[in-house]
Amino acid sequence: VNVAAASGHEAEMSLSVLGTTFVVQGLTPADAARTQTLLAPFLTHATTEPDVVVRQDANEAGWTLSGGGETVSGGSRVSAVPALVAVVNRVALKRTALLAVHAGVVSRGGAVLAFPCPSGGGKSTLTGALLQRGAEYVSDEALCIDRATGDVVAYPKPVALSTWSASRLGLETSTQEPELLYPAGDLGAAVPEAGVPLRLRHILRLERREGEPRLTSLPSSVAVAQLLRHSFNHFHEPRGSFELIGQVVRPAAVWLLEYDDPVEGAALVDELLTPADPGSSGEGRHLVEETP
Amino acid sequence: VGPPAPGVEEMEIGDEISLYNPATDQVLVLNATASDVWRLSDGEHTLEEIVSKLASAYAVDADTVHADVGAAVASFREAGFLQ
Repeated sequence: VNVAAASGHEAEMSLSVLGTTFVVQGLTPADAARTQTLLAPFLTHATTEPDVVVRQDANEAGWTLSGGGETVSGGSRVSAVPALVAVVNRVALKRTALLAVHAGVVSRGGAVLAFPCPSGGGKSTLTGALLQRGAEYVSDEALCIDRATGDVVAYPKPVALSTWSASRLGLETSTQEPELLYPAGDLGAAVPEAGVPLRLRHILRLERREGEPRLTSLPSSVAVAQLLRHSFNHFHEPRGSFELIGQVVRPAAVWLLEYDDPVEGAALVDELLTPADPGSSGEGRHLVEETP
Repeated sequence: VGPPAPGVEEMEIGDEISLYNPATDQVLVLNATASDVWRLSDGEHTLEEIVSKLASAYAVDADTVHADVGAAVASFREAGFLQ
């Protein structure tokens, strides 16, 4: 039982996100239904001793969310669920024992492609464009790595897009929110096959540049600095994180993607994950492999 | 030149070395030449000895590599990777 009516007008929900268990209380039925759709991959059985309790309270000014050391308020009902999703995301990333790096992440058949970059760097839009091409969804927020195995752990939070990004991807943009949330299924995303380990195989550095998209190979060592720079939590265990990053970077190919349009960029990047047809002449592929 | 500052971690990928100083959270990615300079920055070699060894290894005259070696050592020191 994931969602229960806690009172006549409130619902309660249990979540498990990156190893942290949450109970969310005080949701209106409408907010509970929306949250259940967006956070479906994280719904879990009710727990009596959650790590974090997040409570939503309605008040005259609007609503307040509190829990996990955070308090957030807003006036518009439409912003309540995105705020809840954001709080759960921040608290889960703050608490996780996994090495977490700010990145967009997709996969095909267990081979993971990640593009670490800061907020506003275009990772969610590129993630969305890759999902529309049939890539499996891992995360638009964090590359999460198991410290014991080096395997990637999926963190399939809802895809967060600006109005421009959503329009470019041909998605419905009906709300007034500056950032729109979509379950990955709305973009046609596939889900990584259960039981298949996710291994980091490609790392991209993104640079926006007008003109045709272009991929250039880079030395693997540059990804060490890139992953450390965009890590959320390496400082909890700096030496171990540095060694872990080296372990996952060594077998990976590192690329510079220069692009302007995310849909065109995704088409080029998808070639890295999609084996060429053996009968094809290669015409139409635009990979540029150079080692500086 | 050197030795490395206490606690500095190094990692070799291919022929390139990445350095990490947990105390300052700084990371330095070295190209192949700078990696060679780092390997000799062990507290056992002077700057001139490093220049001489690399000039010999690369089969160039010492003047050609002197500026590059000096710049690499300066960057190691500036970023706190050398004592």
